[in-house]
Amino acid sequence: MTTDASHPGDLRGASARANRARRIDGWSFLTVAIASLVAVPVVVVAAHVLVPTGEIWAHLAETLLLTYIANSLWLMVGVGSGTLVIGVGTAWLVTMCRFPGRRIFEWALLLPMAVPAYVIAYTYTGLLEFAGPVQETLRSVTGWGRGDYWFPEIRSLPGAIAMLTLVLYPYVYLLSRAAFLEQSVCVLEVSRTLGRTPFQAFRSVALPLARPAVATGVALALMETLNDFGTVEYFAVDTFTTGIFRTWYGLGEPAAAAQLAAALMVFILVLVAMERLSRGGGRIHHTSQRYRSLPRYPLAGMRGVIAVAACAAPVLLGFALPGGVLLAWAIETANEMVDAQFVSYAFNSFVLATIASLLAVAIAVLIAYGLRLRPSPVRTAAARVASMGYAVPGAVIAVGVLIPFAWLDGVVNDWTRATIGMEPGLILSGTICAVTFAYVVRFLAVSFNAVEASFAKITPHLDDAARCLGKRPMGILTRVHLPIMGGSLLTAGLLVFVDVMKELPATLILRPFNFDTLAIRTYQLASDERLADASSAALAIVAVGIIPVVLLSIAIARSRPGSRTVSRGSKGP
Amino acid sequence: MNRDPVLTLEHVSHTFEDGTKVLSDIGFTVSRGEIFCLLGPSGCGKTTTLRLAAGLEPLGQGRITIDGVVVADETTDIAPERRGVGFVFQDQALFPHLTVRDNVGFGIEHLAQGEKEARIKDMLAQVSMVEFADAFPHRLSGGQQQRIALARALAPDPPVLLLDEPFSGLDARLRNTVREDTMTILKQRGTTTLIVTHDPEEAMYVGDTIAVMRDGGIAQVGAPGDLYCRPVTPFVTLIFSSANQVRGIVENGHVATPFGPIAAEGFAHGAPVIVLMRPEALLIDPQGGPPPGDSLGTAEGTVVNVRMLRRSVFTHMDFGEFNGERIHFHARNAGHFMPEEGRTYRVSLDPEQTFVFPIRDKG
Repeated sequence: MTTDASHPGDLRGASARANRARRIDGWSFLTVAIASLVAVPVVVVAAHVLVPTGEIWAHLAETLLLTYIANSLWLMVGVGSGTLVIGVGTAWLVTMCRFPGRRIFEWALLLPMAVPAYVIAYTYTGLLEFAGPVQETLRSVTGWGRGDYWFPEIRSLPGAIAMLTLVLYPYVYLLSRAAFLEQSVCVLEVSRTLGRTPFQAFRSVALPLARPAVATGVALALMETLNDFGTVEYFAVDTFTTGIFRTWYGLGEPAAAAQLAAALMVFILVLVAMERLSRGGGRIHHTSQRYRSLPRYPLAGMRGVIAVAACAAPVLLGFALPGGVLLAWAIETANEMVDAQFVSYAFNSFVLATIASLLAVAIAVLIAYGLRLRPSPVRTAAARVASMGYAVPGAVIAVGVLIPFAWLDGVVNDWTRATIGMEPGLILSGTICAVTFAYVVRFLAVSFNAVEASFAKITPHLDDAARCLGKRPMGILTRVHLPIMGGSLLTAGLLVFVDVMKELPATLILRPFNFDTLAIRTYQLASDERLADASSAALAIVAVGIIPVVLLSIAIARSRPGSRTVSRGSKGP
Repeated sequence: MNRDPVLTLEHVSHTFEDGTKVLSDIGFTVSRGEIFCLLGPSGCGKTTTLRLAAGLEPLGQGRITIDGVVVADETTDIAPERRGVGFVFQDQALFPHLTVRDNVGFGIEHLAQGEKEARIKDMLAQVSMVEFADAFPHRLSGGQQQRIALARALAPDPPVLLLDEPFSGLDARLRNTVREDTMTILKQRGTTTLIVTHDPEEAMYVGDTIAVMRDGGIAQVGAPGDLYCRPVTPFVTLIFSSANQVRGIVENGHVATPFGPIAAEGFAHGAPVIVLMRPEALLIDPQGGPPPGDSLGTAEGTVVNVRMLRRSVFTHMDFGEFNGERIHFHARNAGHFMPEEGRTYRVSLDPEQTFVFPIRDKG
């Protein structure tokens, strides 16, 4: 690759554009290479559709496959409608209405996001199972014994739907709220002058305008639902993720596990397509650029009480109650549980999350900058592929990572045995290499979106100005872009960090032997029915999970165009 | 001003990567110390011309020479960072994370520390911004930002300075002051400058030479006065002001207008032409009396509407039927004489501000 054009005429025979395209084609190569690497797990899984597995698959298809499909569909229907109602409803209340505590609920409604689904599932099980405090209290009050009364079984499909809904509705809430805030108050006021009541205006104008955002929120919640392993496994609701896990470890059938993973991918593809479709037709451009603070509709008396209750319930059930229970348990068990071992789990979590987030941010910067330097179809496609991992469940990625890595380790060991008579062991599949790679594949989209958005805020004229003042592309990145983006890069890294801390299925499958993290520890203790003992590790995960919630609430408080001008204006004399 | 060429474009054509043709075979030369202005409506290719000169866009066809060195042609493509031209953007594009001092020093980091400091101080002094050296760009007003952008571009002492609509982001009151300050600095330094604008008044104000651009080509190049007084196409005429129009056929070297026949030299008998009359060319006789003896031609018009526009009076007049068309002309006259609405006046036509052009496919 020619990078030097210091002497006029040393690039002969082609047009300037072709020369320039060739000169910076290193970026295309880099982005395509990264995208290909990231695509490996998905490709491996997809390719296994063609691998014959004979009896195992026939057995699966006969017995469990229908159960997996039915359970997954029920979960999606339940969690989809649950998150839709809670998410849109609370978003509408806090952005369009006025009632006591509204400002607190604005950010508090995000808190359940900090709780991983498996943690809330363990907590509620501990509370509501036969030997748990709720039923015990009930029995001691009424004098009933076992079998004398009916109590809802938490470890069931409806239980799993409830758990997942409680922690996933913030996706819908977040995106609908942002969409409501983005809407120009003018269109709402116009609809009022054309004879709509506030509620009619919401139904006929605000809600249709927000539809793409709502659809995206629900799609994200459903992707997380399909990704969930901890909750359904603990509740013995057989879905694809538990099936993949069991086929792999229980039956020792990687190919069949990969085929289950491929079936799960079909669900994801349908979700992604539906989300695209719901957005595609209605790419909405806001026609008015005028923003003022929203004229909130006051809810007084009984209606205010109902609004408060509607907003308080998800926060209490999704965060305060499980958080409180965890805290109580953690205090109770701290003496035994918080020891040197605990510190080593926390350290492992920290190391994995740090490495993965640094890598994810660095790679995201490279891809996004390549795209900025010269947006070409190749680079755009590469960026798309590189950021698709977020839709792919962790269990699928894990299978797709382990198969090629194990194969590569085998090849390497065969070769070294033949040449130097030694085996280095499982360099890739037996070390944190595999799990780190899986994290980067899964969470690259998180950092990429943040980094790309941050790049987009920098006017291209800054690049042009820097070039005219003698800086080369790499110099512009380090001297102009990175310093300007500093804060956003940190945010991007933190988001990945927290996602890695919470991640369970990929970690479970790919971690090196005896390398346990906080998430693994929580899972293991809960599996041994030591729910109270699991609380300190779970609480640590929740505590770290609050970081992005805080970042998000700050970001969306600032996100409304013109909101600062409004507040400045209102403070004036 | 000597005629030593600094920036030369020869036969430059350019097509965007999406296939849009932006420039077709343009060429011009900017001489040392000259302020050369590209004037044209948006989308005519003037900004692209600037970006090609800077190397921010790779050249399609043609040749670009800076100070005698070919910087771009079929076989050469010197990267923008090696061309060393100064560029001032419409939005100023100051680095938000750097102080005024570091912004100005961004392009001269290769200099020794002492020399660099001295140059920064000198540049800030030239734009009267010394006391803002440690401020960040967001603390500055639009005009101050513009001055820093200028200082930053001039600090490396570029052979040519490119300005892309540098004043259009400023509000109207500020624009004139900033423009005047900028021109003073450029003229004092003798900086060779290529400036792009869509504002004809600005072009005439700042440009030693103006090139009027249209649809990726150059319509006419010349001194501001030349372009205004001797435009070669209707487009060039109309870019500087509106004009009253009438079409006609040349008969024996003359064409008929509501003001009587006027000279149409160099046109064949029977050629279709368009006559453009600037509003300033319509002189309303306050007395309404007979025409001054040897004037070209006069006509009687009825005042429809009159408006006082600061330094001039703008009159809408009805001249009745001509060639089967209702003639509604505008007159703009200096001074404060306000014709009465509804009254008929005698109006004479100033031949100096009347232009006859052939009618081609594109009017």
